[in-house]
Amino acid sequence: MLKEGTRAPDFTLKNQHGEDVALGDFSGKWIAMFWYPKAATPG
Amino acid sequence: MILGASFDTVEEQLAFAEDQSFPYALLADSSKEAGEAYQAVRTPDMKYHEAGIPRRISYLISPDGMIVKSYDLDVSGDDLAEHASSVLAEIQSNT
Repeated sequence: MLKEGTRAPDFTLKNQHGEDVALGDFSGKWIAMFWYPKAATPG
Repeated sequence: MILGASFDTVEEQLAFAEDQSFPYALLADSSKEAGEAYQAVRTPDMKYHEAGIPRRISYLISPDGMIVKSYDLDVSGDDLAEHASSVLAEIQSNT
């Protein structure tokens, strides 16, 4: 787990529509980032 | 902004989002590069390591890009509804 108070690592990933999504796209907004085991599991 | 992420492909994420009618972005990290950076990869001492699936962890990231809160659902045992409420409460206490 990343420690609280550290900087969130940059990333650029494709969303489900194949569009690039980067951490910097949300500058100025709160982000809740959920990692989940597998698409098709409820989390 | 709510972001979901797993090691699935774009196609698998699309099928999942449509099946569940999720309104938020599901990120496809099939290279596990972001998963490594966010320590979402299961290490050999963890349950289900051999399955090659991410840990059930979440992060609350502030508007200036800092990790404000880390959550490990494998440890807390919270279900997603309980978890969502505690994340919302945390945002409210910070704004």
